[in-house]
Amino acid sequence: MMWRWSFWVLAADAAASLLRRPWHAVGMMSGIMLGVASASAAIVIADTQQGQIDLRFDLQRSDHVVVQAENVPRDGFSADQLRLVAGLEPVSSVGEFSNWSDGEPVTRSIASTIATVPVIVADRGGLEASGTEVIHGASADALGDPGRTAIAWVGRELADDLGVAPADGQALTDSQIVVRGHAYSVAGIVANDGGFGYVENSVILSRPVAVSTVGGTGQNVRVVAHVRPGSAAAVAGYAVRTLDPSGDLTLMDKTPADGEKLLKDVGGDLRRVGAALGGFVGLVGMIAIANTLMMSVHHRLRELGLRSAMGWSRRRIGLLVLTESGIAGLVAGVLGTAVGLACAAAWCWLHGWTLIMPAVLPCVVIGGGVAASLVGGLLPAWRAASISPLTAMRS
Amino acid sequence: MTGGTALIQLRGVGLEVLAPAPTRILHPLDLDVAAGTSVTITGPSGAGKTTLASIIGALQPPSEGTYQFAGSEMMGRSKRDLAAFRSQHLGFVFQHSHLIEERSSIANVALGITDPTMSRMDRDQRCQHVLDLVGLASLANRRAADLSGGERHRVAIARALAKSPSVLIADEPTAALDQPTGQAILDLLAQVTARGATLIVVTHDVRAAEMADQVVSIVDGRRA
Repeated sequence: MMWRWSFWVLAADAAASLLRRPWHAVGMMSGIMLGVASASAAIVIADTQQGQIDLRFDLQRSDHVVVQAENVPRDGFSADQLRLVAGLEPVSSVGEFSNWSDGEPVTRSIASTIATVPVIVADRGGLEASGTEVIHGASADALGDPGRTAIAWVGRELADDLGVAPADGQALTDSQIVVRGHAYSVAGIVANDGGFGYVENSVILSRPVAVSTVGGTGQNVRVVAHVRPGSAAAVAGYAVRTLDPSGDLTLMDKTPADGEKLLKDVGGDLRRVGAALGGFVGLVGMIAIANTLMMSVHHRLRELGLRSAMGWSRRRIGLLVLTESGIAGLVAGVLGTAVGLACAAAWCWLHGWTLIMPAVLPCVVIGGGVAASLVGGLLPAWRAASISPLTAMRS
Repeated sequence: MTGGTALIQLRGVGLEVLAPAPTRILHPLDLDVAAGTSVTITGPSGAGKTTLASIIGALQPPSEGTYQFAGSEMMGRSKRDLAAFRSQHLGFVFQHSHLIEERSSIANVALGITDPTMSRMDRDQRCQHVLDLVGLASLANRRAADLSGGERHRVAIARALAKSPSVLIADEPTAALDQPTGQAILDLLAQVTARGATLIVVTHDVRAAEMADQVVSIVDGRRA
């Protein structure tokens, strides 16, 4: 109780000492205020910038998962297996999208043009998941139609090369192409502006058609899932375990890297830069407060000597100066945080960014300001406590 | 010395400083001061008057001799103990009053109270009371910077009296004042002994010497 009363008396005395010399107090606080303002602004801007980077990375991050199998049953993965993957929350579509053959001679039945192009085996889900769109002709639903055995979809560029693409505004005419000696009706023309651009120069067949006509061993069968950006790695891991619980199929995660590590590294660097900047300015503020307090102590030699002569202990005189320093740090911390956040908000507003501020930031930076002030006040407090009571007698 | 048991007893107390060169400031001397009496320390400038007062006031330790206060040895005490001793027993009035210019009279007086257990109300009442004693009750809230020289000395005396010290040490309390004001201050100090406190005044003022129970004359660091 006595201690508490004594502290408030000391705090009131310290506050009165600060108010007695307002310009000294302003000078003392400006350093810490600058430090706290810089630290809070730097941290908030770094966090906001981190948010912007997250946003931009999301646009660049992989939005699909690719799982490739070495040994797949002739009929491919079962619908039940694919449904398990499709049921995951981040997955919007899933299906087969296999490179059945890397290069097959393709020609149009009525022309001499021959191209060697990949043959892709896909289902409707696979086309959706790969971002492949049917721009002419029958929709991808027909890929699952067992009654239509000799149909194929052709990539946009290949269709142009083979001359099966319709003229602008015209419907797809009844055309045929020949792949490894088998004739197929061109059911549709597809395009892909995403990560599967090679589709533009490929032939797409359904699995039953490919097995019965082109033939093959089922190498390099791939399942593609379209996922929410950022969830690719997790979905890929789950898909591998779901599609091949026994491990017999030698499934491999072929999902493109989405820069997760790079994002974390960049974010960490930004935070470190912000903290270093704030810390450096805080250090300057600490030196400023120590310097101003030291001058203040020098100007108050007589007063402090008088207090000592009247019986104030060295501890109490030191605490008085330290309390002045702490009060200055608290006020400077509050003002500096307000100024820093206002500057950061203005900066974000100018750039059209959404301000991101950790909830604990004000407490942390104000606490940091007070701590820096107290550390900066240690030397002046020691100096004040060392003043001889004789100073009052002799001055 | 007149009557009573010695409150302050100095035996062979002297002061020699070693830096920058060995210098004898005060030669060994004896002094007894009884409780409730007044002592005037006189002598020319630089004679060692203030040094003697600062030793009595526990502001600096002597380099030799013994100092007993109310029977307790003062030599060898820590700085903390000496601060507590000053806080408990001594009041000081300095030559230039040493008020904090920007603070009010009553706030300056409150600086003299070092007892942290005293409630704020008791402290304010005590400050008002001592300001009343020195005739400045009406100027309690006036800033020290706005007081006259005599008023500033009265506030300094009030500050020294605020904790009811058993010994009041005044260093040249009339040096910077005109004659009537100086006399008023001496009259005020005289009331201190009337209230039972011991008064030690360092002065050139012959009027102070005439009022004292004991006069100690110091010349060239020696008791004359």
